[in-house]
Amino acid sequence: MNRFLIYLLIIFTYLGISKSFYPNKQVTISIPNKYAISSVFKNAPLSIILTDMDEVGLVMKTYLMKYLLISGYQEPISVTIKTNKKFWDESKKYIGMSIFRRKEKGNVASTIPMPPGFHFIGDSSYGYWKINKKTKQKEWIFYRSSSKIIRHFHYGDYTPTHKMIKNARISLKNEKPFFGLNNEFGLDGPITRAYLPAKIFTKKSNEVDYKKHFLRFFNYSSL
Amino acid sequence: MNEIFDKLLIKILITSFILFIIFSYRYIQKIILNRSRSFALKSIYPQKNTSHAIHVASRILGFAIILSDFSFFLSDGLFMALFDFFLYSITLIILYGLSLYVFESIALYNFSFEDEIYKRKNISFSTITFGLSISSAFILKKIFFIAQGSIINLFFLWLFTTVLFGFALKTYNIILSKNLNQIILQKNNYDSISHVGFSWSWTLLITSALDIEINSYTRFMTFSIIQIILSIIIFPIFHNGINKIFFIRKPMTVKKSVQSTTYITEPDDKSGINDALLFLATAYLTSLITSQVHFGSFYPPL
Repeated sequence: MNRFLIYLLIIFTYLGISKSFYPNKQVTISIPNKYAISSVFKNAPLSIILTDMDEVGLVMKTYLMKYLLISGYQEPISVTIKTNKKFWDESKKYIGMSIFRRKEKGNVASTIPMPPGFHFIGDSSYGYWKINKKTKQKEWIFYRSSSKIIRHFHYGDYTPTHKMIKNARISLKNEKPFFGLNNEFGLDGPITRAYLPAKIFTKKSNEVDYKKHFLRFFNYSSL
Repeated sequence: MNEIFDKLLIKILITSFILFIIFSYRYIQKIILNRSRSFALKSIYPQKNTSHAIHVASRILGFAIILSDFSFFLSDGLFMALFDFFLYSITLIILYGLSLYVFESIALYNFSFEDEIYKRKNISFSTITFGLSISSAFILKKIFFIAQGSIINLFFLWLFTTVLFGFALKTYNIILSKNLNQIILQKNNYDSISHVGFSWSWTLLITSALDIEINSYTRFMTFSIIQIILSIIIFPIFHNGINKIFFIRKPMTVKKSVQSTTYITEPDDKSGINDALLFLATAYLTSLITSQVHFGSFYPPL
């Protein structure tokens, strides 16, 4: 029994020391649910876009998500966080979308997933509305000064419309996620799938070149 | 033809130089080891005193193991090549002597060399010193390789590994539940072989834990210790597994004598060789897990 306890102690010592001295593991922020986002990222104004996610490991998996933090005119920052399976699965369908926003005035925060850039559309600091003569719809045009944040929305040829924002605001009021008028965004959204360079879309289940792998057993040097 | 002959002459010259170093090693040993061990300079009669012969031969073998990886680079001239060799070999001889002094002081603190080897001609004792000599040599060889020519790194690594191996030696009584003093007193040659296997196993585990690039001493020590702790976790799994797979009925540990703090070793216990071989096999398998599992891109960064 004593030996078993000593063995357990050694295992815990190993885990403890390993955990303490692997710097990359140490600095990864842990976010267990959507309500914790607000307490981790405290600056305002802030919009967080879920840009990528991955699960690594064989038995005890680590669930990772990549957040893009857009705070006003500052250069956006990418942060990798770890989370639990439940929150990871919940968040999966919102990939490429704005999952958290905080306004500068009143420090009001929202965790209802919205299309990327939702936080900035309609704000005259970042752009203006213009009627498209062909479609007769009001479309949002970002100022050139906002170009460094626009590319992080991964719109491609998509242009946000007034109708979309109107519907998004109704959804937000009803506390329901909004994926676009034609479900353009999110895991199954064609715009997100086409333009977001996320690992979750590109990762193949098995990239092993079996032919090359097995042929090496028959390699030989020329005489 | 001239060049081939010249190369042969240079190699014979280097051979003579190595013999000179071995000659000086004999005297350095006398300086480092205390007066009770001054028999290093006395003649050896393998048939009359086998334990003395084993003891000295193991030291020579250890020294040869240490130097076996040394390379001579003649691009800067023969003198520089011999000078490098002289400097390193003298440093290594001193460290080797100090290692042996420390390890033998830890493991064999109750015994004197003159008593055991000269008077009692105790082969059990010389078998244990043989194991320690080879262990010290392999550790020094490894740290000489890791130090990459830096004598400061070599000295640091020597200190570090001496502490590790010193601690490891103290675990013999705990792990094998055998009393080393009793083994030597009873001249139990079989059980003394178990100590050889034990010390070689620890050598394997320690040397495999040192396969880390030295960027900073703190980092090196930390990661080495992590590897050694991992070895301590993996080792019993393999050992117990092998015992179960092959139905080896003797457990890893023998119970203590009833209400006693000392371990009793049967004089006719011949399981020492088995213990040594199993320990070595387990150590090899453990080092496979601790140093040869490469995760590569198994945990890709996001």
